[in-house]
Amino acid sequence: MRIHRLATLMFFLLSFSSVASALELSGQSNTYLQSRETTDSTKLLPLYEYLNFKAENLGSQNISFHFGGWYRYDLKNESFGTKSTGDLQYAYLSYKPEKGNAVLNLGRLFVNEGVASEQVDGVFGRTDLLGGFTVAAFGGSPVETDFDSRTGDSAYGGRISQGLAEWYRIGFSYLREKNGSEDFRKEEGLDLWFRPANKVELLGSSFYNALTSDWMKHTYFLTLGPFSILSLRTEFTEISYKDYFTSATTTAFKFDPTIIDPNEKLSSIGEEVSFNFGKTILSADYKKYSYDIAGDANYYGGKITFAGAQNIGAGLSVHRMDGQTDTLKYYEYRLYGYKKFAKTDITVDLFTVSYDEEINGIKNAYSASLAGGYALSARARLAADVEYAKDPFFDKDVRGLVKFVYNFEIEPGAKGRK
Amino acid sequence: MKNVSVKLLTLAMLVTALTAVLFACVHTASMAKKHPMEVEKMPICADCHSDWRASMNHTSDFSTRHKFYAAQQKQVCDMCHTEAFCSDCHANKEEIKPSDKYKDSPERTMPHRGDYLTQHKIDGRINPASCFPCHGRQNNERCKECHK
Repeated sequence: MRIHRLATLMFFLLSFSSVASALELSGQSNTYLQSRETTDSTKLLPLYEYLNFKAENLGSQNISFHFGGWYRYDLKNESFGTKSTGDLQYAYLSYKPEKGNAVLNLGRLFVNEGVASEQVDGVFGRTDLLGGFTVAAFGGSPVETDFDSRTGDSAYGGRISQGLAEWYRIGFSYLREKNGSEDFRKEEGLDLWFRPANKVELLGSSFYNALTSDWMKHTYFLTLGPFSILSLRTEFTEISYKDYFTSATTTAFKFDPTIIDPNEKLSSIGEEVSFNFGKTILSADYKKYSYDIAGDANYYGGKITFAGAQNIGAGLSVHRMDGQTDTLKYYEYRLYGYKKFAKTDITVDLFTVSYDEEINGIKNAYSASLAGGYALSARARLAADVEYAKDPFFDKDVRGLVKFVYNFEIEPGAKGRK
Repeated sequence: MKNVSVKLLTLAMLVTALTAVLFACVHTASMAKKHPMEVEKMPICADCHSDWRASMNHTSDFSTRHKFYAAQQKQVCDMCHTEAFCSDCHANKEEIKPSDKYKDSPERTMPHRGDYLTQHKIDGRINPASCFPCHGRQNNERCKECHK
């Protein structure tokens, strides 16, 4: 059914583009062939095609069409219980006037405005107004895991904000989602960006659940610097489980009280200190998780990264998780490096977790991957990687992936996507 | 019920009319659709900008804060990134881990590196809210294989 929809959209676009005089078409095709095994040793060989493009100047410089989707066909056995499947990620017509940062989108689209971070089949609009105000609104049918059919489901909301470009922006947002005729979500949000001085920034948001009449989540970041080589970042988060997880479409978030108390409240505070020596950055970080019901946990460590121009880089990180139970005690190590030559690139990545207590008889889990790529032309690139892993669920697990990336554009001189 | 509908419709029309008037009075030009210069990966915006744009520096911790910038001013993101850049990770349905798609970009902060089947139980106990934005209502069909 989705494939028919995709075909219809493609036909619509191509028909439309044929009458457009100055169409600019640019996009990317990513083809992946993956080789892996499931936990019961079934060998899988799925072939994926990810396609995205945008068509601009559709009769007017202000109108464009954006498309992204993927399709998978299994060459051996069945991944996730189906021989083939796919997804329409986005497909929308967009109108952007020359002034006021206004935009009007219609179709399957992603909305990210304050409390709303939604994929909908519907409409979205935003614009700047006088006095530093902005307004945004959206409405449509929510695109979510289909747990009881989407018939009659709806989602709508908006955000109004006010600010001064150099100093601050504060926004208030609202979201309401209905599952059939029942209220599924009613959420309100406050978001803040405050930059009182050149090297001081406060950023964050607070979300309120109007159905449970309590705060769901507060998250704020304070960034200071850089002062010469030093930068500081402080993070604060507070989450009320009974208010935050009310709208899950999977039982994974319906907590078993013997493992996670559904009335738990989590607050975490973290600090990261970074020293920037140009191409080399050294940083140390600490995060404390405090629970109302369960005990505390501390995560801390450091990392050093090196990035030389565009063709060489490396990183090393060591972290310790120190929770109240043995299963929440482990060391985490990562080492990576990459080097790019004229047309060739090579990447090595090692990742290890050492548990204080064995899991399925395994104390040290690790994965090592080697990736290489070759630029066939300015538009085409062929790459492959192989990963070897040993962990509590897989013994000597080998996975491979081959990918072919092709950038295309009709209008000469247009840039490809990032 | 009919009165409430009429009032809501009237309110919506008034808000739309007010928005149209205020928009008509705005004389600021929209941001450029594309960044005037092509920027390479992980740009440090402060290298060229000393105003508010410097706060968009793509430092190594930017991935933890990018959601706030995107929720406030996505039009800034759109200058350099297409929608596909977002949908690589933020999707209703996805089968390949972002860290598997981009094994050749180890410097990018990608979730679920290595053996995440084991690690997700640990992360889920430490902070299940970190899973929820991506897997709470979307992209959770695979969760149902075990979480029935």
